[in-house]
Amino acid sequence: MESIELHALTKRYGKSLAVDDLTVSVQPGRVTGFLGPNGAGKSTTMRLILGLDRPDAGTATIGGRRYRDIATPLRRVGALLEARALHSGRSAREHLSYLAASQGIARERVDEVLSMVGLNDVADKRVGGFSLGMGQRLGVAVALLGDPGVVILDEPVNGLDIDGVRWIRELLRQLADEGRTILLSSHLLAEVSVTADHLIVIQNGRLIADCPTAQLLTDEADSVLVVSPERDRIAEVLARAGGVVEMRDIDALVVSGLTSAQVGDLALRSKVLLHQLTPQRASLEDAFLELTESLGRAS
Amino acid sequence: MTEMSRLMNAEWIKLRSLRSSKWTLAALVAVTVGLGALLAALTGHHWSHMSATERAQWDPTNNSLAGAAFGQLAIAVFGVLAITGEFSSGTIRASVAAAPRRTPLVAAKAIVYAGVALAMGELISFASYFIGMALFSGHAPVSHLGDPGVIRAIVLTGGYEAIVCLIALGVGFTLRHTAGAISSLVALLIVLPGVIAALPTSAQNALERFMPEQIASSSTGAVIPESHYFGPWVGFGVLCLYAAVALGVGGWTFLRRDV
Repeated sequence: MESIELHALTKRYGKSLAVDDLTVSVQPGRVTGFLGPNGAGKSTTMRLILGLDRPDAGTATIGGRRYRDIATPLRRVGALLEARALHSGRSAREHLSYLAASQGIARERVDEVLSMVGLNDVADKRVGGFSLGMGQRLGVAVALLGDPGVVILDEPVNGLDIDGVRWIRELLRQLADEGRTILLSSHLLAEVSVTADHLIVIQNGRLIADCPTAQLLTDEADSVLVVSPERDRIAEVLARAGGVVEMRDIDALVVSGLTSAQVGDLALRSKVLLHQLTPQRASLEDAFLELTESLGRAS
Repeated sequence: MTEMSRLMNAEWIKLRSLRSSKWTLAALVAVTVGLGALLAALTGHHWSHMSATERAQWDPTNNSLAGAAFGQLAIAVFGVLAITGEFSSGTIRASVAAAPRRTPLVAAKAIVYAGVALAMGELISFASYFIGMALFSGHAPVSHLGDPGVIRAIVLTGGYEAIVCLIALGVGFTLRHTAGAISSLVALLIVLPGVIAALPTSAQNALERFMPEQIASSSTGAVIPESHYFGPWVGFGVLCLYAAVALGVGGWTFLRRDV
């Protein structure tokens, strides 16, 4: 299976940099979450990968080739960019049929993907009457039409109901387990943390993090809740050891910059009694906010 | 299958699956044949009141084909919507993702849409001719298919619809917006000739021969040559040049810009 490689990818709209020197690799066999606040450059990056926009510098390749050099691209790369990018006068089947025809894909495959996304019953209705969720399902059908090894989905859960969200999670997991390369963008961190094995975080078009989801959860913003009858003494010890201490209740504090093991060791060595020692795992949401905010301050 | 045949197949499915294609083509037939027949009926009855010089210029073939001047707007809308509909709905991104080199996409669209325009154009052109002859007969002199220049006039008049379709596609690829593209075509096909008609005769005689619709009505569609206008084949060459330039500019713009 093929990976997506971005090398020094840069895209400028007028004076603003939408994608800024982005170098990253999206590997097969796992779901890669592509995270960033709205306007971070996620959609632009995806358009650059698909050759819809031309980069100002750098390259985007799939399996070592530029998208435009792939002969029947929908058989290699499937993408859902905007669910509403459909002509309202056409039916779902007609939309899929012309795309299938353009790639020499058999007609039977159209019916196959329609049932895969659960749109059989409305296949011949004009898509103008579709809900956002149905539009998303059709978009997923388009992405899967050519049975591609690389699947790129921009905010696929938008407009989906609970069942739809669960369905797409299971689908992506299954596709990744089959060895495909899955790139899934979202600004909803809670959503991506459930599905993605690996995360790429960008803001202002720049790479902020590229690591396994678990690592982002533990690396960033970890803190430890300490409860002690001698709160002020332990606060002093921890501060001296480089911890950032935040007083809580009369007998509690939260320290960051130190692991719970380090806090325990320090307490023992300075003979301070502890009643409670609890690692506070930051949610991905917090980690993400921290990442993007600290970067925002730095720039 | 080659990429071109696959993309042409896709364009054919796109064309058939939109109501706007059917409506614009229906409008083309109704307006061209309908108004053509009405005009033929009127001019045929006018024959008895014509002067000798007017009778010497009587060109029944050309007069039967007058409806094409009205049908051209329908085919212009047909050509424009073929591409601006993709931009306004966003399907252009799906189309480009399926054909990322883009040039084959432009070519496939041009062949399929201009092909349909040509087939419809020939159909209505021959229909207009036969209806015209039926209406003239008994009131005014008629022509016959075997007469010199008659088949050529009918066929090139049908071909004019394909030329307008290609110009419209080129303008659509360049401007991307339906309203802007249609306004531009109305300006080119209708307003500009109106402006030229208001100029002094010398300027008028020098410029009118270059107007697309005037070429169709007075060069390619005429059996009796008209003064100040190109001959049929030179006129046809000029029309092809317009189509090539419009499509060339449209394609070039489309290749360079983000979608």
